[in-house]
Amino acid sequence: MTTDFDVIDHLAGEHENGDGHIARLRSLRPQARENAQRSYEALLEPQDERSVPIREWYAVAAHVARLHGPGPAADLYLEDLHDEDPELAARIAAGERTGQERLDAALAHAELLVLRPRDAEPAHLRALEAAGWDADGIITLSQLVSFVTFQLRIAHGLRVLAATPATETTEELR
Amino acid sequence: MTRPETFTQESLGWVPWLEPVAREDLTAEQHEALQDDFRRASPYFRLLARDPQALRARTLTDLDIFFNTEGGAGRAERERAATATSRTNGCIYCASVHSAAATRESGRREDVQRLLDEGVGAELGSPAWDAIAHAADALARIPLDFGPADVQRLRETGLSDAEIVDVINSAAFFNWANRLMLTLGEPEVPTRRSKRS
Repeated sequence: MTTDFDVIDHLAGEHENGDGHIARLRSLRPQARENAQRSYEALLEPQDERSVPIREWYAVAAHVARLHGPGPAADLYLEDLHDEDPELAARIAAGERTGQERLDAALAHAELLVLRPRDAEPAHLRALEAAGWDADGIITLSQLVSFVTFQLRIAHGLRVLAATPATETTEELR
Repeated sequence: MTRPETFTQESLGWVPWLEPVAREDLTAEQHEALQDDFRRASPYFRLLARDPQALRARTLTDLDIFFNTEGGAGRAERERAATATSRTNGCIYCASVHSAAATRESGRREDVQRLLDEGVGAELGSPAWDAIAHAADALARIPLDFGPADVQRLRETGLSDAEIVDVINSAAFFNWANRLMLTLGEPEVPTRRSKRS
């Protein structure tokens, strides 16, 4: 589903307090803006059937956001997950494992990617395979986790930029 | 196979830990998602082609963030941010590609090498480059450490808000790229060079 709603603008707080300044600057890179949104949709609002149900993808996205700390992204993905499976959302919100082998392996892999990606080894992919992930699924999982780390950082950066008014000195330099 | 031990501007190979889609087996959708023959030849991109929709959107995001220079930061500044992020995240492969690009775009090979050798605290030859490297590093950290002081510092070196958005975009994008390259395969020194040394 494609709407005018843009997730990064939402996470950056553009609709709460923005005067549109940051959205205008972001719109200088229209293809990047549009395709960051397309990435979100491809990974979290897939149109075709996937072997892994949507609640597991939301659980992974919520876990990635939570690992970065509380904030609008953690809220968003936990709400999405809650709509699909309230019990699972409660577990992810508490930082717990789920007892579901495939999902727990994905959550552990997400922690590796988010917190210590340089420690990755082939054995980590073999562990995913042993838990039921095929190669296509591992690529989608890796894209999802890595995409969310990007999305969180753009939103954070834009939010900080919008909240830091230029002083007179810096205005002169511009 | 020889793994590189240190950060370098020399070109490296990359060996996947999962089977890429063979070139002759690419579907029309995968072929289109790969965008160009450079990507179609690359094992890394053909591995990502296993999810063509995600790859297509990611590549279009990448191209606009790094190559659309209208009204924003220069190419060298974006490559500099990508290199600093890769240095902090420990992605030797990504750092090799983008440090070489930063050198190509700026002619400042030694300043670029100092970032690779010493990390983002190194003095990089100009306040703007130091501020960009520092901002990229802060944005890579968990919890995210990029704050108002980073914005002020970027502005004080003369960057406009549009340029700062490009720095944020470039640094953020490499948190995506680094994680894929670090966790789906590993860099290797091309045979030719590993024999030479």
